[in-house]
Amino acid sequence: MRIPPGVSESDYTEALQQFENVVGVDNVYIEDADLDLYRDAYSILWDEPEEPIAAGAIAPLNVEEVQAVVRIANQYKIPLYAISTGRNLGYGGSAPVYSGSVILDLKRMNRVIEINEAEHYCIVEPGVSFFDLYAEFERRNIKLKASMPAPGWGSPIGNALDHGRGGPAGDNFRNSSGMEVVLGDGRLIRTGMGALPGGKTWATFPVGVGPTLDGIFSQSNFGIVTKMGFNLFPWPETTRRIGIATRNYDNLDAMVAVCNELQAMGVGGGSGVFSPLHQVLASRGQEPRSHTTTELNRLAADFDTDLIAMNLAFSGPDKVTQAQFEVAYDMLAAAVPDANLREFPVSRAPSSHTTATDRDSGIIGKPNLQRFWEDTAQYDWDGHMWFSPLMPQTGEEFRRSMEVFGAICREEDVFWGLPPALLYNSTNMGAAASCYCIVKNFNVSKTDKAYNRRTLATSKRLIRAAAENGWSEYRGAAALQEEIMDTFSFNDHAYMRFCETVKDAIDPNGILSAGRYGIWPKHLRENEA
Amino acid sequence: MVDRRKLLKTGVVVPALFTLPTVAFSSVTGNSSSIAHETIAVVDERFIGSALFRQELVKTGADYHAISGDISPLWASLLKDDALQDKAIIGLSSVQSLFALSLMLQPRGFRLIHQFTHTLESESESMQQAVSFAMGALSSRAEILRHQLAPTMKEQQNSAPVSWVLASSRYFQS
Repeated sequence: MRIPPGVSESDYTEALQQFENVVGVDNVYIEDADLDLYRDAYSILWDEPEEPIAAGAIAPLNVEEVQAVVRIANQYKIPLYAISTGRNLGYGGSAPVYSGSVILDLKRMNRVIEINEAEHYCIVEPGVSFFDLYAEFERRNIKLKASMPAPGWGSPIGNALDHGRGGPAGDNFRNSSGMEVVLGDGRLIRTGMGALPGGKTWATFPVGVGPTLDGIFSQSNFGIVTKMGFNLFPWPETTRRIGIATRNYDNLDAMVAVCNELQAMGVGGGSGVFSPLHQVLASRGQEPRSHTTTELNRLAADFDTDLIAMNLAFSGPDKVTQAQFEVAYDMLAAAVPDANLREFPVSRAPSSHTTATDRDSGIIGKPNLQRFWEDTAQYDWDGHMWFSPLMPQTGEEFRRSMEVFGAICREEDVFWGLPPALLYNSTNMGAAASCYCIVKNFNVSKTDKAYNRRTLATSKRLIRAAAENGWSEYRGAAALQEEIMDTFSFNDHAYMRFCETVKDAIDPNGILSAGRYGIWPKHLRENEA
Repeated sequence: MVDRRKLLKTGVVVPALFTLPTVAFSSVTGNSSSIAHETIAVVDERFIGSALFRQELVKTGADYHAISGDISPLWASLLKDDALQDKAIIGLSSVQSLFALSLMLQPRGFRLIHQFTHTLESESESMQQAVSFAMGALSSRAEILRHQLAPTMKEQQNSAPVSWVLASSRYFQS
């Protein structure tokens, strides 16, 4: 039997008995066969001594059981690590940060509490996946969709709490409204309008009165979120798309400027930047000699492919998207006359779930796992680890980032290429306040430890280089969260010290998800010192 | 009734999903017809040898379903059903589809108990044998723990199919 750190075997045995009394013997896991399933399948520390592993796992059915488990964990000082569906591969999956923690697996809390068709929201538990939510829409023939990432096997709550992105909302955390949270001592609170007994706007008005607390429960270890509300979106009548591509790197600035203008005017269509050339280079493992305009333009010409491309999309009523399309097309054609503009076929929503075909999946928000057979099948991989720094949404910053990161990767002999930059935005599609988010996945290996170590070291260099340029990741793999947080060092790390103050106040025994995003409870900080 | 923990302690289920155990049976050990009614067949029909694999599986009476790469349509329409926990799933797919399905079924107590990696050149002739291996994995349960050759994804050809068996502890109790 694996024993959590700092806990005696006799105490752990007693605690397990109490956990079993709460959730049932079949929902407490202590055998290696079960616990190995909680390893992060994409961990860059796979089979290394530093790989965090679980000492046990407990799967409660409801919030009362969560509270009871937390109280027992407090009594015996047992570290817990809460997960929803644990599918966030590349960002930690279902593995703890603090090795030897007991996983609080919320998979059995899988109720869709409410779907309000008229007001376009839902309230769900953490074990609900995007598949589950879609199944409920389908069962009731509700023509709404969730803001969903790809792949769709994760949970809306887990995804949002990690600031995952989805379409059409962007940052799914900012697409949420209202939480129910079990604190470190087992107390239960509701945030926003949920704090009002019988509050009817819990899931539609994202703040209440006084301080807005929801944010402190994202990417943290201050509580266990057991319910959360989310905006839902009606199926758009149509989606129209414009593709624009160029072989001239100098065109990037004008293309981005038009997109920013369209977004700020409320026309929308906001697009990231991707590189067809990158796909060619990646398939050949060929790195540019530099990331200068001359070199990249030469490569695009040599491989007879576009260097940079953008796809703008407009979804909504037919007449509206037609007008948006025309405005955007005219502006792009005028600003970048030598680029290739392309009009994609119009997508139209089906009349109902029963008439929907596979081709309608995107427009109706039907989840899938295509990533696991489409994108990855062509590469030699065991998993990946994301590097996702945010930067201002300008062509200049994108190009600068490619030079900085490309140079480091060439030095470290790790493939960089010309990875895409997605638009990182919020639900307010008309707002100018959005950023580019470079989306680079470094492959990880289950067998080549030397490669993993080199990749990890390179990632740390990239994080520091990003910070020196005023860029930063907005989330990171478990093995890098502390490194990222360390760059948020304004005023002698005042932000982290504030987080530690909060941690010590609301989780005095430090039992919840120790180490997540570099936030350690007092007793483990003291041990380290 | 045998509970899940006792079952694990008796060692019926293989220890870890990600060790990807491969069973190398020298002969067909199973009684296919006796277990076929408990078995769902999932075959990615994009692979050249899939027709032969299907032919062999259909002979056993297994409930046959085709996929084309992505496992999620079948997941949504069939595999997420709780009633499936009494059954086993035999399949032929890409290793990526297997990986995704394994993780999807994990919370329902399913484990990968058999995996056989095909080569691109030998698909046709190996299909009959592959089905035999898979059915054998289900019927000679005690053998499973003794054969854990644990190939890694990196050693496999990602564009080649794998045949496999996923089963839950409840399957072994039934």
